[in-house]
Amino acid sequence: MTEEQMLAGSVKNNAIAQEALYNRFSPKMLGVCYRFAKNREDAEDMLQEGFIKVFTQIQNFRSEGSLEGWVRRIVVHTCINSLKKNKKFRESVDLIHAHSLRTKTEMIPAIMQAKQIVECIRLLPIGYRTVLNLFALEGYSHREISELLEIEESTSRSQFTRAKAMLEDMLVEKNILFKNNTKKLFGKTVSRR
Amino acid sequence: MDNESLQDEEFIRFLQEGTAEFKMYPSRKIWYGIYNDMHPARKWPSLAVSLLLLISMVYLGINTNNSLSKKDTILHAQRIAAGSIFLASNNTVFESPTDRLSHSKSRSHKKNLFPIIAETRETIIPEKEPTPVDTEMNTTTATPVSSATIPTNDYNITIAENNSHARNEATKTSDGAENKIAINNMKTSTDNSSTLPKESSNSNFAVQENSIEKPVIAMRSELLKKPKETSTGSEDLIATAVTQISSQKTERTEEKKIDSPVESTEKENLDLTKYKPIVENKAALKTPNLIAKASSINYYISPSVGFRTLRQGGALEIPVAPQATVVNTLQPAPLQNVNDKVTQQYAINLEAGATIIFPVSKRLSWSAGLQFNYTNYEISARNIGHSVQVDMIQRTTGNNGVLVSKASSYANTLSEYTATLNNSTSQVSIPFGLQYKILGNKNISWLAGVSLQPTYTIGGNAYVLSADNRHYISAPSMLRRLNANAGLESYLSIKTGKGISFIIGPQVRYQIFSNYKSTYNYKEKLYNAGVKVGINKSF
Repeated sequence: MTEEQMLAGSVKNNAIAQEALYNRFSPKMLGVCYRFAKNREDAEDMLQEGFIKVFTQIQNFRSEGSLEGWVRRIVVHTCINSLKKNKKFRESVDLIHAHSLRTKTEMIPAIMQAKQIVECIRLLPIGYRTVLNLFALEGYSHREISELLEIEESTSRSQFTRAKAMLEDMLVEKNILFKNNTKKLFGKTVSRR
Repeated sequence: MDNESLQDEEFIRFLQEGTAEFKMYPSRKIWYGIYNDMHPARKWPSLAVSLLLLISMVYLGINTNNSLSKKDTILHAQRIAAGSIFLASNNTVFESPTDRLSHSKSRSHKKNLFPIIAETRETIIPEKEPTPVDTEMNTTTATPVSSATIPTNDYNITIAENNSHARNEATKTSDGAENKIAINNMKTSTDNSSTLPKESSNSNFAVQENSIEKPVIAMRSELLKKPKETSTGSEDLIATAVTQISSQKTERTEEKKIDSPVESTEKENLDLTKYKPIVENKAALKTPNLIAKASSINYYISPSVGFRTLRQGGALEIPVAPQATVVNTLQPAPLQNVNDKVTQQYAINLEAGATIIFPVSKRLSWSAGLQFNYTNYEISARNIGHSVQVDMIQRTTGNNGVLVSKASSYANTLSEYTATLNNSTSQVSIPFGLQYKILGNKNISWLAGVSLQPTYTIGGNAYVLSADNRHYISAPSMLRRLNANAGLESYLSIKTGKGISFIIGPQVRYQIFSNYKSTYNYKEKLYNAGVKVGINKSF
């Protein structure tokens, strides 16, 4: 089923088209949710809520960008809204958490590099993780993040800086990232600037 | 920026590249949650089936309740006519000493006897005409109640209250035939308004409008004359009479009065033994209301082995998407015997339930009940170790279909790792059936039965074949909700005492419709062969 067929069917609330669209995008979107969520169950809840929003608002999609990008944006917003419901998240997004990371890194399963990176991201404190996800992986600006998370823009910047430093340490420790003159990523050697 | 640190832009690119292809496959329940939220109307089938079950149970209850009332009422009327019981002013039924003696076992008497619609085809005609008797009432204790006439086609049963003598005499109809006491083909009516007009204290039976009543029996038990001696507690009695209306009403318009009471003190004149077949129907009198017509209930469990027949549907026209990015299996596999491609194995199935048995004749009975089915079979597959996107054909309209992309980790091609996929369903059904007693005696009988079981699939697990017949896709949403099974069984019923019989015998069940929705281009029908084990409890 083509993307157009899925889109047209989903607008008509056709279950087959909706399932096709869900099957097309849900694996990647669950990966997105997983980076934000505390665990897989929470990620699946976010995914379900996100896709319900996708299907209820799909008639608003104007085909100006990619469908995947539009779906992804809705899912990310759903994740943020879900996190914001948690009082602990609100408190932690403004705090600095730079401790007890060494012990946690031992929990990372060495299965695949992509998964390792994601698992490293998930080991970050929730405030760091959220800002890093939004800024580095979802392409939000610090201004957008500050509006979305209802924090100061400077806080977003500092959170990202600290998150980046912490994540670098973890990735180096896992031999995924080399902090010499070169970095190694999936077998490719890239010269540093 | 620190030399030891990567620049932001480079770090971000590194993260994006590193996580770009990160995917996780959600469990199917997520889709069901979305589906249920987006299509709440699709929940109606389950609600409808629940409602159907409820209505069926209520209907059965009401129907059997009415049946009991009819049966019970007519039996009481017959017993009243036979003189085996008396109706007191408070509508309490008393049993005659004679009858009580002959049925000394405990018996639950029905209170609040109402004259309601009743019909019976039983024909009980005494061999000889009973002697008319006179009923003398105890005027000090009898409580006046209204006369109640139950009009019938040919007869009226009049339950008359008075303080007088009810007289009886053998009369002849206009055609000269002598009337006999007969409770034959009797129909009663709820029309209680046709009560007899009260007569004089002598209570000669009056002729109703357009009808002629002839008192046939006015009975008095000899013991009633000596209530203290017999201690029957039946002081408060009313006279009971059964009158007959001539079938040739138009010929007789003259009011007849019976003014020569004939008293009899001989109980044997009643010849009560002739009514024994009616009176002794203790089962009906003792049966609880809800299951009046039913003779017994079966509780059973049937372990079985389950398998399936699988057939590929006809070729479908599938539009190929020009922008399709996943070029995996865009075209369905050519028509072939799909069973050659799959390896399937039986698995243990189970059904359990209860059915109420309603006798139709001595050998034939029908049944209805509620049953739970668990069907199950296994597919021997290979785990390919990772998820791949495969296509599943879904029929849209007519011979048109679409390919729907699905994730699958299982295939029937060669792979190092084996996997056993379990396809199962959980169903509730309402089995309706017929049983025929082939052979048997009091203690053991051999029966055969057929049944039709409308079912509703409440859940299950389904791995369906992909379009190329090479992969298995988890698609429980393709399971058809409403289905029907046909059952065939034969069993031995062995009495163990106290109204309980042990039943055991083989049974087979075949699913009439495909296990999957019509949108799936394969037809799968389940069948089971097993052993039915249970108990039968007589009412």
